Amino acid sequence: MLKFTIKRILVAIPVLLGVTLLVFTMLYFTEGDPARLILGDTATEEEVEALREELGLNDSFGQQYISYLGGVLKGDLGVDYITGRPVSEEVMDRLTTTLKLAVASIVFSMIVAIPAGIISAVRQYSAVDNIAMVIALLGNSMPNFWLALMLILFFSVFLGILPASGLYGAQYYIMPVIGISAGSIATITRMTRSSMLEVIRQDYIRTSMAKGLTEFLIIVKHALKNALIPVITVIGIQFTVAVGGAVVNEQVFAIPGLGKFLVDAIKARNYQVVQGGVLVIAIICSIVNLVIDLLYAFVDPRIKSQYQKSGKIKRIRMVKEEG
Amino acid sequence: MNDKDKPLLSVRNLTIHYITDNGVVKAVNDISFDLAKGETMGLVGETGAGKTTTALGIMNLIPNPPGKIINGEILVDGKNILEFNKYQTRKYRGNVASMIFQDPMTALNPILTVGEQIAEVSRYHNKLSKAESYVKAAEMLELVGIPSERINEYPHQFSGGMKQRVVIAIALACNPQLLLADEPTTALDVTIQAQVLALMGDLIKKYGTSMVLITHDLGVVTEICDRVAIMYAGQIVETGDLEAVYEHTKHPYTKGLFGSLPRISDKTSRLNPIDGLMPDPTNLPNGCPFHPRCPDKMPECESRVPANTEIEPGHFVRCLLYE
Amino acid sequence: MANKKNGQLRDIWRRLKRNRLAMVGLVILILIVLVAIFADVIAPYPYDLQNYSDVKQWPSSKYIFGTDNFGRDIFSRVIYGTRVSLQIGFISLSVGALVGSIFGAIAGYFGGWVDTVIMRFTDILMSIPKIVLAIAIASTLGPGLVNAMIAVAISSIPNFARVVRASTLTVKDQEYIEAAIAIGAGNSRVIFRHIFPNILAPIIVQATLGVGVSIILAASLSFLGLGVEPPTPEWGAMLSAARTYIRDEWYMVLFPGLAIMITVLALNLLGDGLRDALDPKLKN
Repeated sequence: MLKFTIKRILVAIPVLLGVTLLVFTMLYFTEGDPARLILGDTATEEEVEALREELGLNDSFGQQYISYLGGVLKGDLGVDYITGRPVSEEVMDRLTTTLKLAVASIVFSMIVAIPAGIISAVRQYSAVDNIAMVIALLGNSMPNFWLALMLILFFSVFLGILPASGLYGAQYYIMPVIGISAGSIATITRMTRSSMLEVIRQDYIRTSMAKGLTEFLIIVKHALKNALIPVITVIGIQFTVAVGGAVVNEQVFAIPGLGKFLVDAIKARNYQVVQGGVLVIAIICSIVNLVIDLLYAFVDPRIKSQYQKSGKIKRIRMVKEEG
Repeated sequence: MNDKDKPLLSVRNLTIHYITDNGVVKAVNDISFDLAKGETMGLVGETGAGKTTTALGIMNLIPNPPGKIINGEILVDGKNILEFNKYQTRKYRGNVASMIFQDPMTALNPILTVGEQIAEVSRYHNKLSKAESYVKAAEMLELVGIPSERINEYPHQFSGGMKQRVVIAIALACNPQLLLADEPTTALDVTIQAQVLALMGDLIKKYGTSMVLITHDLGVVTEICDRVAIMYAGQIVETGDLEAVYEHTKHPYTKGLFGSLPRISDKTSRLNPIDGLMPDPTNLPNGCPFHPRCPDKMPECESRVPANTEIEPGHFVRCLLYE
Repeated sequence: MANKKNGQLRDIWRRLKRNRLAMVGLVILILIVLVAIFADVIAPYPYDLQNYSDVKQWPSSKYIFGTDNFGRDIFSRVIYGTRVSLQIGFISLSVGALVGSIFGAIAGYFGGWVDTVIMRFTDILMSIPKIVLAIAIASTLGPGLVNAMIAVAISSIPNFARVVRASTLTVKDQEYIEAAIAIGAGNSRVIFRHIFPNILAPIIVQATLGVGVSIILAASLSFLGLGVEPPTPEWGAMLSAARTYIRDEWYMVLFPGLAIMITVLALNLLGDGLRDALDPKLKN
């Protein structure tokens, strides 16, 4: 298990380095001169050039990347030239808001989608199944920001029961969470359903039926555990989707999170902030996916034992059994 | 009729069809046979003859849809199991009748330990505690020749032959009166086949279990069966004790089966395979289903389905030649 | 060979035809494409005609979806928007699919370090939420229709690379591929002539579902003000402009969103149907 964990972390490192390179490259090729942006239109050409030299903007691409990476490793994401504050501080201020939204959404989608998927599979082609599938289909077809707008229209404008903007208490979460998780609910429901349907057809389910076990025991103990293994992997991807959803929905609900911060920064051409924000989002999504992968290995004994014993011992055992 | 003569299993006019998009698959057509207590019957036929469907029918495990028991009754200890309610069916499966499936590679749940998979049967049927059921499972493992310290291992840690031993342990865990073994050795290596077969022979003798052994191997039948039934296109075409069927072979299909076996004692003659192929079960020929391939075909065979005829005590043939 | 191919296609079509939902999706999609082509004929007004005497008019017989804050006919803008969204969806997806499929096939076919490098690269792209990646690319390139398409195209590369790689891996070890290599076919010939035709099914399914994803992504980008810019009648951009009026003129936020939903729904219905028709084993 430790071996698997180490191996998986070793794979994550080049990915994270790649993310920094990607983010840096995008900023490097962005039109506009950061020095000019910082100093404004009134500065002279000499002043700009001096600042360029000072910021290292005249160095080669490689040199600049190395110094950027060095900063990132120390937690230095540069300085927001509008406010003058370190980008890392500004990002962290807003990160919790976005993460709260994303985590609440992913938890909500699992609570709704996994039972819905199970019921749909067990009662395939029933009314419940058909309704769940129609909702899932719509959920996958709607842009989340439009769903959010429709929720505002219904709950805030027509009924006046939910606040349409901000994030000051539990009731403020309801609409953003639904808006963010609709797509994930659809995906996880369909995934659970098809995974469950596939498992139900397996021979070992027939074995458990031949044992005379109750339907409940067969579904929960024999089918569900197997069916959820592939679902777990999707949840990692769905977390990434939820963060993306939070970024858009913050805009709809005027929530001061990372997403709104990013979009505002792009419009203000505050590229150091964009770079930092994108990097932090990517790192968090990578870490969550790493954790999910480890969880996956923990749940599936086939992967777990693959790394528990060395292959050689296993092979000898197999030969012994056969002999 | 005293209790000893009363058959344990009595299948009467069983007809099972699968209703699919491509037509009605007539898998089992009006079969009847009896099985006495402690008796072992071989059910022999080509792939697609309806052997597995018959066994699943006896377990009341026909997947519905698409399968449907059209007609007939299955009496176990005088009770028609097809009329059982859910609860009675559960008490019947695994407790009164058990099934060993063809492919041990897929018959075990990959994420539960073999111990749990054996233990849950007796825990459920005999109301044992968790600890008691594990003691029982350890006993069962030893009984099928697996060291009991492997009780907490997962199926993927076992070889094919070992997995089939686990499946046998599951099937016998509650000491059932009736065992349905569906080609239990087909998926195994030849050397392992003999071991597993010998094990099964020993165990059913020890516990006085009645068994229906499904196979397409006439040699296996002579090793552990008392009686044999030959299936063709969903019908039992010939049945009787070993001597009757092997020595006084009557049905042209059975003759053909023996003719297609190589005999070492008779190296000069060539193998004599049956011409043609098994008919499509969605489109069975009129009259006797074997008539298109039959060397002794009479004009009448094309129009009339032969009835089951007892040509000597206990020896039944379904052929117009003997009616 | 040609006959067998036709037979397969006919089989797929026959299975697809039996799927009522997929046919509904196909019919809606054809209608939407026709709307896009004949937008000039269908739309009662030019999409940018500002009629200041008819600002913020509720839906009526004159303006069936109402007018926006500039007095532009929303119905006409939604109709013209079909053109923009389909264009973005199909073009960016085609580019993404092509690039992603080539990389995926190379990764699956050659394996080894090539595979590792390509897969780590897709890992990098996939570790960033699609919309954030698109935002970052759009911020590099600046707003606009073409740049939005590039951003959406790049975002769709990793999915294709993965699907195609997985399919290539399963096809690669088949005997007919080994046979092609054995008779001396070059790598590119094996990939394009032998592997691609056999993994077309998952690519088509991914593409059908991917167009919908791309349309939504492009709309989200425009909604955030980083994609297609006004006055181009893009559905996402229309929603972005309309959301200010949600309290009083809520009809403005209704129709562009419905247009997106119906288009993507049709694509999803067709995509699901195609998946089932191409691989009947997968059908649940």
